[in-house]
Amino acid sequence: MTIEEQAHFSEHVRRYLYVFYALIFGTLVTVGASYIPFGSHHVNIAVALAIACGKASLVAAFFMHLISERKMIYGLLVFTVFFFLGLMVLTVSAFADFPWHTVLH
Amino acid sequence: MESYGPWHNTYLAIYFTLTGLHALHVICGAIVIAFLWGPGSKLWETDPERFTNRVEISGLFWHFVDLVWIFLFPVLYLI
Repeated sequence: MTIEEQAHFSEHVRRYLYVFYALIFGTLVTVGASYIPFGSHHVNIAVALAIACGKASLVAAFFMHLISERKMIYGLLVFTVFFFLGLMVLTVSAFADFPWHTVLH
Repeated sequence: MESYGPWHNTYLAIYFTLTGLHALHVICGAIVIAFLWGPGSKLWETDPERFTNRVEISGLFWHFVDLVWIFLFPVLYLI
Protein backbone atom coordinates (compact mmCIF):
# COMPACT_ATOMS: atom_id res chain seq x y z
CA MET A 1 0.00 0.00 0.00
CA THR A 2 1.32 3.45 -0.89
CA ILE A 3 1.69 6.27 1.61
CA GLU A 4 -1.35 8.04 0.09
CA GLU A 5 -3.51 4.90 0.38
CA GLN A 6 -2.39 4.40 3.97
CA ALA A 7 -3.27 8.00 4.86
CA HIS A 8 -6.65 7.62 3.11
CA PHE A 9 -7.48 4.50 5.13
CA SER A 10 -6.41 6.08 8.42
CA GLU A 11 -8.94 8.83 7.68
CA HIS A 12 -11.67 6.21 7.47
CA VAL A 13 -10.47 4.42 10.59
CA ARG A 14 -10.37 7.69 12.51
CA ARG A 15 -13.98 8.39 11.50
CA TYR A 16 -15.05 4.92 12.68
CA LEU A 17 -13.25 5.50 15.97
CA TYR A 18 -15.11 8.78 16.52
CA VAL A 19 -18.44 7.06 15.79
CA PHE A 20 -17.48 4.33 18.27
CA TYR A 21 -16.72 6.93 20.97
CA ALA A 22 -20.08 8.59 20.21
CA LEU A 23 -21.83 5.22 20.61
CA ILE A 24 -20.14 4.58 23.96
CA PHE A 25 -21.14 8.07 25.10
CA GLY A 26 -24.70 7.38 23.91
CA THR A 27 -24.82 4.17 25.94
CA LEU A 28 -23.65 5.98 29.08
CA VAL A 29 -26.25 8.72 28.51
CA THR A 30 -28.98 6.09 28.02
CA VAL A 31 -28.09 4.31 31.28
CA GLY A 32 -27.85 7.63 33.13
CA ALA A 33 -31.13 8.90 31.72
CA SER A 34 -32.89 5.71 32.83
CA TYR A 35 -32.23 6.74 36.45
CA ILE A 36 -33.60 10.29 36.08
CA PRO A 37 -37.24 10.46 37.23
CA PHE A 38 -38.92 12.47 34.47
CA GLY A 39 -42.29 12.30 36.18
CA SER A 40 -44.14 10.23 33.61
CA HIS A 41 -42.78 6.78 32.77
CA HIS A 42 -43.57 7.43 29.12
CA VAL A 43 -41.01 10.26 29.03
CA ASN A 44 -38.27 7.84 30.12
CA ILE A 45 -39.25 5.49 27.31
CA ALA A 46 -39.27 8.33 24.78
CA VAL A 47 -35.85 9.60 25.90
CA ALA A 48 -34.24 6.14 25.80
CA LEU A 49 -35.70 5.41 22.36
CA ALA A 50 -34.65 8.80 21.02
CA ILE A 51 -31.05 8.19 22.10
CA ALA A 52 -31.23 4.68 20.65
CA CYS A 53 -32.47 6.09 17.33
CA GLY A 54 -29.56 8.53 17.30
CA LYS A 55 -27.07 5.74 17.93
CA ALA A 56 -28.74 3.50 15.37
CA SER A 57 -28.53 6.18 12.69
CA LEU A 58 -24.81 6.61 13.45
CA VAL A 59 -24.22 2.89 13.01
CA ALA A 60 -26.34 2.76 9.86
CA ALA A 61 -24.84 5.87 8.28
CA PHE A 62 -21.15 5.27 8.98
CA PHE A 63 -20.51 1.63 9.85
CA MET A 64 -22.95 0.37 7.22
CA HIS A 65 -21.95 3.10 4.74
CA LEU A 66 -25.57 4.18 4.27
CA ILE A 67 -24.51 7.80 4.00
CA SER A 68 -23.07 7.01 0.58
CA GLU A 69 -25.95 4.85 -0.75
CA ARG A 70 -28.73 5.22 -3.35
CA LYS A 71 -32.13 6.69 -2.39
CA MET A 72 -33.96 3.40 -3.10
CA ILE A 73 -31.97 1.65 -0.41
CA TYR A 74 -33.25 4.15 2.17
CA GLY A 75 -36.82 3.38 1.12
CA LEU A 76 -36.36 -0.38 1.62
CA LEU A 77 -34.83 0.20 5.04
CA VAL A 78 -37.68 2.47 6.19
CA PHE A 79 -39.96 -0.49 5.46
CA THR A 80 -37.82 -2.70 7.70
CA VAL A 81 -37.67 -0.10 10.47
CA PHE A 82 -41.46 0.14 10.51
CA PHE A 83 -41.86 -3.57 11.27
CA PHE A 84 -39.02 -3.54 13.77
CA LEU A 85 -40.79 -0.75 15.65
CA GLY A 86 -43.86 -2.97 15.75
CA LEU A 87 -41.82 -5.72 17.36
CA MET A 88 -40.59 -3.37 20.07
CA VAL A 89 -44.11 -2.03 20.68
CA LEU A 90 -45.31 -5.63 21.15
CA THR A 91 -42.66 -6.22 23.79
CA VAL A 92 -43.39 -3.09 25.81
CA SER A 93 -47.15 -3.53 25.50
CA ALA A 94 -46.84 -6.99 27.09
CA PHE A 95 -46.67 -5.11 30.39
CA ALA A 96 -50.41 -4.62 29.95
CA ASP A 97 -50.81 -8.34 30.71
CA PHE A 98 -50.23 -7.53 34.35
CA PRO A 99 -52.37 -5.40 36.66
CA TRP A 100 -50.74 -1.98 37.02
CA HIS A 101 -48.09 -1.50 39.70
CA THR A 102 -47.66 -5.22 40.31
CA VAL A 103 -44.63 -5.68 38.02
CA LEU A 104 -41.21 -4.91 39.40
CA HIS A 105 -39.02 -2.93 36.98
CA MET B 1 -36.47 -20.84 38.79
CA GLU B 2 -39.74 -22.23 37.40
CA SER B 3 -41.40 -18.82 37.41
CA TYR B 4 -38.72 -17.22 35.23
CA GLY B 5 -38.84 -19.39 32.12
CA PRO B 6 -40.39 -18.36 28.78
CA TRP B 7 -43.42 -20.52 29.63
CA HIS B 8 -44.35 -18.43 32.65
CA ASN B 9 -45.94 -15.41 30.95
CA THR B 10 -46.11 -13.46 27.68
CA TYR B 11 -43.45 -10.92 28.59
CA LEU B 12 -40.90 -13.61 29.47
CA ALA B 13 -41.76 -15.54 26.32
CA ILE B 14 -41.04 -12.47 24.19
CA TYR B 15 -37.93 -11.61 26.23
CA PHE B 16 -36.37 -15.04 25.77
CA THR B 17 -37.30 -15.15 22.08
CA LEU B 18 -35.71 -11.76 21.43
CA THR B 19 -32.54 -12.30 23.43
CA GLY B 20 -32.17 -15.94 22.39
CA LEU B 21 -32.52 -15.22 18.66
CA HIS B 22 -30.21 -12.23 18.97
CA ALA B 23 -27.59 -14.33 20.78
CA LEU B 24 -27.79 -16.99 18.05
CA HIS B 25 -27.21 -14.34 15.39
CA VAL B 26 -24.26 -12.91 17.33
CA ILE B 27 -22.68 -16.36 17.71
CA CYS B 28 -23.10 -17.16 14.01
CA GLY B 29 -21.66 -13.76 13.05
CA ALA B 30 -18.73 -14.31 15.39
CA ILE B 31 -18.05 -17.71 13.85
CA VAL B 32 -18.07 -16.25 10.33
CA ILE B 33 -15.74 -13.40 11.32
CA ALA B 34 -13.42 -15.83 13.11
CA PHE B 35 -13.34 -17.99 9.99
CA LEU B 36 -12.49 -15.01 7.76
CA TRP B 37 -9.80 -13.94 10.21
CA GLY B 38 -8.25 -17.41 10.37
CA PRO B 39 -8.52 -20.13 7.72
CA GLY B 40 -10.55 -17.97 5.30
CA SER B 41 -7.88 -15.30 5.03
CA LYS B 42 -5.99 -17.42 2.51
CA LEU B 43 -8.44 -16.16 -0.13
CA TRP B 44 -6.70 -12.77 0.06
CA GLU B 45 -3.72 -14.30 -1.77
CA THR B 46 -5.69 -15.89 -4.61
CA ASP B 47 -8.69 -13.54 -5.09
CA PRO B 48 -8.47 -10.35 -3.01
CA GLU B 49 -11.67 -8.86 -4.45
CA ARG B 50 -13.80 -11.84 -3.39
CA PHE B 51 -12.19 -11.79 0.02
CA THR B 52 -12.87 -8.07 0.40
CA ASN B 53 -16.52 -8.63 -0.50
CA ARG B 54 -16.80 -11.39 2.10
CA VAL B 55 -15.29 -9.16 4.79
CA GLU B 56 -17.61 -6.32 3.79
CA ILE B 57 -20.74 -8.51 3.95
CA SER B 58 -19.74 -10.05 7.29
CA GLY B 59 -19.17 -6.57 8.67
CA LEU B 60 -22.59 -5.49 7.44
CA PHE B 61 -24.24 -8.46 9.14
CA TRP B 62 -22.35 -7.75 12.34
CA HIS B 63 -23.52 -4.11 12.34
CA PHE B 64 -27.10 -5.25 11.72
CA VAL B 65 -26.89 -7.47 14.79
CA ASP B 66 -25.35 -4.57 16.72
CA LEU B 67 -28.18 -2.27 15.58
CA VAL B 68 -30.77 -4.67 16.95
CA TRP B 69 -28.95 -4.73 20.28
CA ILE B 70 -28.89 -0.92 20.44
CA PHE B 71 -32.69 -1.08 20.66
CA LEU B 72 -33.02 -4.36 22.55
CA PHE B 73 -30.80 -3.36 25.48
CA PRO B 74 -32.64 -0.16 26.52
CA VAL B 75 -36.09 -1.67 25.90
CA LEU B 76 -35.47 -4.88 27.84
CA TYR B 77 -33.06 -3.72 30.55
CA LEU B 78 -33.35 0.03 31.06
CA ILE B 79 -36.95 1.05 30.43
